[in-house]
Amino acid sequence: MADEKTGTPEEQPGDPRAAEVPSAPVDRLRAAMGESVEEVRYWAGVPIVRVRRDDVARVLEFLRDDPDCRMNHLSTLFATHWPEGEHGTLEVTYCLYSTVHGHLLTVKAWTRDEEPVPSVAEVFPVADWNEREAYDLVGVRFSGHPDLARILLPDDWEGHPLRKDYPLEGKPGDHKSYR
Amino acid sequence: MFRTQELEINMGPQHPATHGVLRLLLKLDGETIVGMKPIIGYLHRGVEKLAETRTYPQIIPYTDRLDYVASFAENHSYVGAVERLLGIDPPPRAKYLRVILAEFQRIASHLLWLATHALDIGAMTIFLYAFREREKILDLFEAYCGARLTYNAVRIGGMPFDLPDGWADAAKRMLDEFPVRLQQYETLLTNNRIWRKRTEGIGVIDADTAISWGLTGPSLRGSGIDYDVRKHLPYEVYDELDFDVPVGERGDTYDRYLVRMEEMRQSRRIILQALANLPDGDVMTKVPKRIKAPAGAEAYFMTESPRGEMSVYLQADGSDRPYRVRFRSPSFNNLQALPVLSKGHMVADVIALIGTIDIVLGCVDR
Amino acid sequence: MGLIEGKLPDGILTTTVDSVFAWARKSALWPMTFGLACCAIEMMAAGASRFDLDRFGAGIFRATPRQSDLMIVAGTVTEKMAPLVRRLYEQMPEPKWVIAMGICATSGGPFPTYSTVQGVDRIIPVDVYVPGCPPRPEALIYALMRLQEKIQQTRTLARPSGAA
Repeated sequence: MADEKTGTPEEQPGDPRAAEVPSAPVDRLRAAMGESVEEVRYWAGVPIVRVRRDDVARVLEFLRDDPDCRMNHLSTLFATHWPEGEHGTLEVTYCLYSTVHGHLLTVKAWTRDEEPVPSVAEVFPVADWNEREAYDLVGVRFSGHPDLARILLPDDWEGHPLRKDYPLEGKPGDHKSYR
Repeated sequence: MFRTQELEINMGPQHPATHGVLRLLLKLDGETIVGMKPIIGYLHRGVEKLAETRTYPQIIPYTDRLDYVASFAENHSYVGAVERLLGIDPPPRAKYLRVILAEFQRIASHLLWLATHALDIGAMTIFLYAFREREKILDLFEAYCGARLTYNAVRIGGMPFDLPDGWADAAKRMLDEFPVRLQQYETLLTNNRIWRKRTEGIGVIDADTAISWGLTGPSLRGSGIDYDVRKHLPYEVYDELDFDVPVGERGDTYDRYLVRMEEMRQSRRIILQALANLPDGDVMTKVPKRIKAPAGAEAYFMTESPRGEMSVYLQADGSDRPYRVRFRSPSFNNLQALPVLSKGHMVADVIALIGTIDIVLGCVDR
Repeated sequence: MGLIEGKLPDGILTTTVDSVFAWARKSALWPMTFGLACCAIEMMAAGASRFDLDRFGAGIFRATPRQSDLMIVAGTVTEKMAPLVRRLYEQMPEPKWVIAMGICATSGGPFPTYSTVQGVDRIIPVDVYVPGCPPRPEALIYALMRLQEKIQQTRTLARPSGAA
């Protein structure tokens, strides 16, 4: 797949890394909540499901409680900024695993600035701090979150550093002087 | 007759027992904790943003500094994610070497956990003994890759070096006397009345609550769930090796202590098997000079680090730098459960609880 | 010590007394536990069995700044932590010294980011810088010995007369 000289692996049509794999959670989701599923694609054997933003909490609750899915472990939750994204500008990714059946699934929800994503902290308490971090560093708002405040940066920080337009070294005013 | 009042005190971020820069706001009714709010971010260095500006191989040294007590685990997790992203398969000898070093890292990390946890509770002797053992493991790592703490000892596609001459014998010598040492620590602690009083019944959490709060690793296995990534989603050659995953019953601090002690024994078992079955061959497979991943490629690689499930999510954009790197830190998620664990306990128990969830602030704050 | 500082003119008596004071101070430096990041682990290793900082008199790590005279800034200082570093430094009584351990404390280290202070000397004055990421425990011990040499040169009783 990789060109040895330049090492540019292009995703060819029929790239085996993007091949579909059988997945019980995807099938159950399509059967029970088909209108929430917008797109399913695959990479490296894991399904990546894009769902409607406003349904994301119910989707995660279904995946957690459905007997064939039992996705009881929310492994990670994070946000990415795509300035020119076709489905929105802020993408939230949820990685789920079932310790009972061994299923692996990635769920994604897209939104734009100022439009909140439903919080999943009631479904998975672990999401609390992860959503706070997504808000702190990327600026995604979560509706229904128990306490959406900054977590890693000082409370009086302005801006969201993980956005693509934020300079790595910090904008003027980030570094304070003490001497 | 007497008016009582809730007291709010601050613990940290400079505190000998917070294992780093962690700040806890405690609401107390006498000595009993009524509420707790952890405040983190005092070590937030912006590694995830930094990683977006570095090439895939350049990020590996940064991963050392995240979970600095188990640097190899973090290196391994990140490199595994890149390999999964691109579909690269390292040669068998490299996989065995990774398993050997990962398990040595587990033992070294658990020794540091034991040293600091015991020191905080008051057993100072264990600190000096456990560090003595740990130094022997650090000597092995230093002989392998040149560094004592921040190894940078995994490469995309394999390992940077093969084992030096005599390394396997030195490793076996260290492991030969290890069970005796471990028994010494157990003699000092396991049936010690003070240790048991400080750890039994402290921080009890049941299985369902534990997993919904995102606890992983020994902190979860102490409550009875046997979720260990090495068994559930085997990577490298863990499915070819024979080992047990210790699980606790009551989910208290004492059970978590027993789980970690047993894990050190199981790690020794894994290393001896891996050294005996080490295949010959190269330690590095052919990888492109410039590592690029196609746009739209995303991969998530989960590993079992000493602290819990450590995973890396990568999103690529076609260039030689990742678009987004997400480090799923076991410490960040385990720490979130601290208020749940400490409800109803006393201030002194908070010290034991911070030790039992085994957090490293570099990984919490990134 | 404030009562006797600089009270006598520089001379033979004061030099000898001052060198006794300096010897006493350098031989019993009490560091404050200020491990921030990875360097803290190597600082702990320096204080543990193999490298044993205690043989230099510096083995008693005090948790409170009020009882310590040496602050070993071991690890990265972030913008969120910076005001606290300043406050802790100001809480230490005189005479006090600072060792910046590792490249993060020296100059921000490998983190040229929005939240990392590019060197703890932007916040507090530093006496000895130790490069390394992390520096080996032997490097920290060497830094401590250089600090002890520096302390040996200081004058307490003698009035400063030009270059001290």
